[in-house]
Amino acid sequence: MKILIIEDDKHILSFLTRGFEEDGYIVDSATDGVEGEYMALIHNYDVIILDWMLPSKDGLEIIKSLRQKSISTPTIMLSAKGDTRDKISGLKSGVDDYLPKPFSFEELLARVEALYRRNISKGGTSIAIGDISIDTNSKIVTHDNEVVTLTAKEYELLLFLLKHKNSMVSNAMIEEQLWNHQEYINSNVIQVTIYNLRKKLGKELIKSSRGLGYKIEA
Amino acid sequence: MKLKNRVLWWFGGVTFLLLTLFSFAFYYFLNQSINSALQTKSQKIAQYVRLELLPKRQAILSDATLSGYQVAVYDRQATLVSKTANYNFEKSREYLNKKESFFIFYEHNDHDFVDILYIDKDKYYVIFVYEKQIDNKIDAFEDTLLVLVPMLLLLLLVLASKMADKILLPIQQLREATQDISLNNMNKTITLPKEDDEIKALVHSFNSMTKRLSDGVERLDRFNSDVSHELKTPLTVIKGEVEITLRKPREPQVYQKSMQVILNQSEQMEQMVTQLLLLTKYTKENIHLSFEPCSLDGILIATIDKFETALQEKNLKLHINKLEPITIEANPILIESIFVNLIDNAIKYTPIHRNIYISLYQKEKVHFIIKDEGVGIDAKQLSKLTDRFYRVDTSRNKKIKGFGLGLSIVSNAVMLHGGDIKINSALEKGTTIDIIL
Repeated sequence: MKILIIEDDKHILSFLTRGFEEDGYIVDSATDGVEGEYMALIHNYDVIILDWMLPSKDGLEIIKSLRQKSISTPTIMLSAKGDTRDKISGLKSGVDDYLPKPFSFEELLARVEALYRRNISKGGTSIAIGDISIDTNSKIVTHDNEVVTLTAKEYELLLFLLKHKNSMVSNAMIEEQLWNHQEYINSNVIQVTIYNLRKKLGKELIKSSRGLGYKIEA
Repeated sequence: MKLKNRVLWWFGGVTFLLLTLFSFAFYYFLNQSINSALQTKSQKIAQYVRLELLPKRQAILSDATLSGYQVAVYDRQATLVSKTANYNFEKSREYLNKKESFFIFYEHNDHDFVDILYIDKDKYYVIFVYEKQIDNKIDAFEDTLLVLVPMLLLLLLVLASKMADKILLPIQQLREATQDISLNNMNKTITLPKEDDEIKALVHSFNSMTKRLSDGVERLDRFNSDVSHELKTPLTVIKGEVEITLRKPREPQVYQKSMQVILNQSEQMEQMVTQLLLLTKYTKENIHLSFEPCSLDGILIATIDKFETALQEKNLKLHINKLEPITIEANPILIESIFVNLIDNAIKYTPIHRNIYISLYQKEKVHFIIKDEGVGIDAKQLSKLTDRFYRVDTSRNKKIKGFGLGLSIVSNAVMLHGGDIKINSALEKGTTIDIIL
């Protein structure tokens, strides 16, 4: 899962990045409003974590402008403004959730996961396709009722393909989704991951088409 | 007690007192005038009896003028000369011993009586005139007053009550209007009445008071939210840092790094709390207790020394244009806070390789002038500069450290020393701040 954190306090950004990365998230970050908005526009994120008070463009303006440009990425707003009034104006501006500072990281994590689930499995915690089922809460994947152990990247790739099921997903899309934009990856890595997934979950699950990419058919 | 009732009580009491007083006075003077009329009349009758009737003796008994009176005439030796048929008076003997004429009113068996002893000028004859029941008009008047006073009082009270209602109506309206005003809608004003009277003045004062209060509440709100924001950010870092670090066992360096972050954040919170205390510790009343002779030039030089590294980092040149030795009675901590915050601001907001100029001199008053070649301040924002937590960049730009307390600390310190601040600024050209003590 790939998230964008827009937060100008470098200490908050630091522990958030560490926390999410430890949980297997791919984290991009921005410390400035304009930069953050630009990243949200050009990349595809599963969830955006947005601070309210930001230099050059504040969180409210960013979310309004993103929603106007039809970017509907689930967004959670963080703010030291804890008033009900502030929460309301935050939520009304288009964010999907609001968490006042100081917050508990575990709560933020749970909320981010909930937002993600809402987007991918319409709120449910399990996705089933053929003889494969995935519990997005515990991140347990079963094949023929047997638990399959996947690496973090394999799991993310599986989810990503399921999110775009019945449509072709290109190498570039996968690369952008599974790695953050500072990392350089070898295109072999994607092939290897697909190979491993097929080995663990069955060859028929992921269809590939040379030069176009991969897809899962329902 | 309601204002109206109080007004009615007072009005009723005073009216009652006045009415009673008036009635008594009226009764008394009426009585007096009746009595004196009676006296004159009796004297005339006495003379008439002595001069006209006595020579004719038996005429006394039948004279029409004397009907209703009891009359007796005695001679010098107190021998009864003549009397009316109805004369029957026990005090005759006692009266005959008197040497002078008199006139006496008294009440006997619920009847008013008057006795008159008339001694003739050659003392030859003594005449008694005795009258039964002076006049019942005055009694009637007395009864009328007893009924009239309470009735009049009642009528006046009813009228006064109506009047009080009319007078108090605007106050009632004012009361209802003020009930709509609460902490949350302080901006609401009461409509001014048309009548140009005291009530209008009251409403006017009330509205301007609400305005001042609402400004105050707004400032307080802003101050509160700023304090909480500034405290919440380091709290968030501390909480998050600890939470993440404790998720699983880690290398010692990770703990060390985490602890360092927590320490820094705690220091930041401490610094803010200290600054806030500096703002609220001294008041105009107690500041003088902390005054001591301060060498301003000494404090200034020591302060500039502290900023040496910061100046070097940005390659700024600090020029001391003028530095006179000045010693004044002041609070050294606050004086230092003035220098520290102004120099700190000048360094923060001046781009690299530029100059800062400082002068300290005495010309009647003490002047401390600091001039930078920094970003400058928009004229519109000048008035808000000294507000607590006010930062020109509303995003609370983290690139320039600080809480926005600096200038309010300066302004507070200068105010406590009875001084003045002049700020001149032009965007992109720089700012000059003149502190006058």
